[in-house]
Amino acid sequence: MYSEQKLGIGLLFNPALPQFLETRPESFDYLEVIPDREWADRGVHGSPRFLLLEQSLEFLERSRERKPMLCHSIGLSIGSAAIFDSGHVEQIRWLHQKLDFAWHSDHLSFSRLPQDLAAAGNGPEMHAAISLPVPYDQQVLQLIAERVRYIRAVIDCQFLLENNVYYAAIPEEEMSEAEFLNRLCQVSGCGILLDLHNLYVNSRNHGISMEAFLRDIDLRHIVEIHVAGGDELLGFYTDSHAGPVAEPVWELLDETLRAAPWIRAVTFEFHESSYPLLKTEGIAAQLARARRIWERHC
Amino acid sequence: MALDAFQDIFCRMIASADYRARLIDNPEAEFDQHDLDAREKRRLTAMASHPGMRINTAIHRANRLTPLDQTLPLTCFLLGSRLGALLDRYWHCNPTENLQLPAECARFADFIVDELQSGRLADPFVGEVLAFERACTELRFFSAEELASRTETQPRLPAKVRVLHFQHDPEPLLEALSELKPPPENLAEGDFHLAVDARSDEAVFRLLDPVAAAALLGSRNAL
Ligand SMILES: [Fe+2]
Repeated sequence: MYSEQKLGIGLLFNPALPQFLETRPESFDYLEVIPDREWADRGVHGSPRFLLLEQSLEFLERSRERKPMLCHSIGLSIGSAAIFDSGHVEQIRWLHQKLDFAWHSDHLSFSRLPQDLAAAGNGPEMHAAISLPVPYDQQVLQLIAERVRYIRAVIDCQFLLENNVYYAAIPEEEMSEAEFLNRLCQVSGCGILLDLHNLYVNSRNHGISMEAFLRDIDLRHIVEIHVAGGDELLGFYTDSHAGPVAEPVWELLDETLRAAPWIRAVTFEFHESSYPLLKTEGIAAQLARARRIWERHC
Repeated sequence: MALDAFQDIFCRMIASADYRARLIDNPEAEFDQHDLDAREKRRLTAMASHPGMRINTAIHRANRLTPLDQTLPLTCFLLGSRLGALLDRYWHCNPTENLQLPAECARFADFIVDELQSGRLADPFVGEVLAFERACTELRFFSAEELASRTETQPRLPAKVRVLHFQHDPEPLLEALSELKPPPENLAEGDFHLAVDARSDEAVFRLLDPVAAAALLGSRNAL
């Protein structure tokens, strides 16, 4: 059984953050890292496949001595029908042995495909360069559940999947997103990383009801929450992680933690290009606001 | 039901606005080539016309630019307002992506060299700045053994060292570009050699005098 310990308020690591981490260690309780940014992945046939970015990795090793760490990968593409990358899973396991993550998460989506469907896993790949939604169908649920079980068997820590953003809706799905996530957790043993900003983005763009989602999702499965901001593009609202947390997301955080005080961590995500806008005090203010809500309920 | 074919078409619609337009005009022509069930066809038909597809394409393009911006930032800056049209053409010729930094850098660099050689792109600085950034990327992402096995490596130098030829004084040129300023006026012209030494963690840059350049290119052990 994995530890149930609460971590508190954390930050998603990006290259703009090292100075903040050194100067404001009291403002966050843990660091979440994107492992795929710690190496150059030269493809399944690369030898060696993963070229480590030593300086960045050394920085994380030093940071790990001071704070707990979470792993949030972006390269698994767990929803790809034709590709499942056990080499990527092995690489995460290697990093987990080094940094001892409290848990590991990735996205309920797909981004990688074979260039030639007939060659499937053996030929070169293409990358969608965007995280795309999978249809919430029984067939997809079975496919992903099997992969979750594999990941959980290989990497010795809890595994979470994050609810995804989508811009073009897939019609005629067999399940709602909440129902899909509930059933996936039941059959595969994964937990949920609930990105409240992603939920807000989908609500803004497609009119889905956030209240209905939060009513239907089984809150017992939620382990971690992401909060972030976004901006407008071509008449849509996007999950760009620009600047501070979107105001309605703070309200959602308050409601969610009130209803589910067992949630173990709340992570603030921002893109490094927003650092000049936020600066040290802006980041500290976002973390402090998250902490006030956390302390009210958790 | 073929989820892999559904995902393939979904992805290609995002990468290419032309492909998406063809699919809207004549979906059956594309669907016939794949093993799709009726629901998947209805889904793809509806998604092709969904206004959100434009956002998917915009994000796809921004994310495809990222590896180029990370490996060839000075070249991208130099290209300035010409970059948009060049990317359109580049992505049209290379609709698929693997986002792996050294590979994507090399592919775009080859494309720009071809544009320069064909005369479609004319610029006095792009060629040498591109060669410099490409060399820095290779030195950063490949091991000494891998670099040594590459045919284009300068045979008389250590694998982790490159000497780049410039026709303009590289120091003020690269300094200006790094500060997002255009190349200085009255930049000295001639034969300049800049050594990039990546044998330690931080690469070291050194402008060579002609005698040193000739000696270095003539002796593997001179550095
Ligand atoms: Fe997130």
